[in-house]
Amino acid sequence: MAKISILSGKGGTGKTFASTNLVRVLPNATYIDCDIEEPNGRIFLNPIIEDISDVYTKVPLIDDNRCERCGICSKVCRFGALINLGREILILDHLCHSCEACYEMCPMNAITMANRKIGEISTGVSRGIDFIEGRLNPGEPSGVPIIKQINILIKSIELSIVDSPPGTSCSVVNTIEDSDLCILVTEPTPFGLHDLKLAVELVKEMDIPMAVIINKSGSDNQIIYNYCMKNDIKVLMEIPYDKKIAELYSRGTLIAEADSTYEKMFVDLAEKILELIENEAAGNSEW
Amino acid sequence: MRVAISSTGTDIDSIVDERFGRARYFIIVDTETGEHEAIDNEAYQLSGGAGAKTAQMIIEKGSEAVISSNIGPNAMDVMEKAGIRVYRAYNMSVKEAVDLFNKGLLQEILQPTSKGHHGGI
Repeated sequence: MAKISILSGKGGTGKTFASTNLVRVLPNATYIDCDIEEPNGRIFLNPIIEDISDVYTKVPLIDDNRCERCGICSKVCRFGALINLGREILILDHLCHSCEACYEMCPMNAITMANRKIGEISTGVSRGIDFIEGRLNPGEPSGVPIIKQINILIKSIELSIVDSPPGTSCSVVNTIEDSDLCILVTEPTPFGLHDLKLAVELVKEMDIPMAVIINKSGSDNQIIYNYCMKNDIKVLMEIPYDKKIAELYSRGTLIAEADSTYEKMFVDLAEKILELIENEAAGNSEW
Repeated sequence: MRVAISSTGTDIDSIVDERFGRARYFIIVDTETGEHEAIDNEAYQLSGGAGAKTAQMIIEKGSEAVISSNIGPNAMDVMEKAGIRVYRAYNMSVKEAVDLFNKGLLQEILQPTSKGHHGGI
């Protein structure tokens, strides 16, 4: 069992590009889209969806017969999800973070926690590749429950390639949890470097081995190399800033399928990654 | 009538705060007597739900109307359910806003003026 997470800090650096092409050339890998706010791996993999299951979060439900409108629930809610109007308690579902403080603190035991659907998990197959995708409904404050559920599925998957959301917040923390390796995709720009640093700090904090891919590689690569060298992080691959990539990508085509040079680049990447994971498993973390 | 005005400062000559949930202060004015008090809006720096929390405070203060420049969907929802009307004032002092309100010259806000802002978690 191995879990490889692809993240970046900055959005638009090529997480989905790298993950979908990587999964294509890896034998027996499962593609897992945890970029729940905008899961778009399916555009490139075109999976046949076999099952869709709903994901729920807990929200308070008030028994009007028991509630005495004391407003304690409203006071303890940090998120403004319960408002005491005097004659009734108004619940703003979409502000609720399911912390259950209201449920715990209600002196009348008038609150129960009910299910509310926040998104779904689709599973399917894309030309021999198993496919899993989490999708959060628009306007929802947190997709973490979806990611946690996907993490349970990952536990029984041989080799998972996990496409992470951008940034370094809760959804990313939960996505990369228990990874054997994190691949950080960056671009040689000041923005790319800035957000790479944030991602590196997070991954270090979580004590996960990591390596970097430079996408849209060009004359400014040195800023990434300097940083990686200083921090002992291996650069696994440079993907050139190539119009051909952009053209194929905009048509939803996997470049590892359409172009043999790029296919070879991703095959090399896959080999390096598998090697890193084996070394790590053998307790040799000198890379 | 007790009216709550979002304010950038604590006195009646302060400029109306353009934001509702993130307003630094509210000045509650009794339009009959002219008496007023300034309230520190504790919700202004919440990561999320500031509009709803502010609305709760306005209800607790017994206000019957609100004056601000903008209001988001959560606060508007609460105001509607609480039967509190919202009026728009922009780029003027709290005192001027109350004068215009008393003359019936402020426009009522019936729809949220912004889509709301997402707080972090």
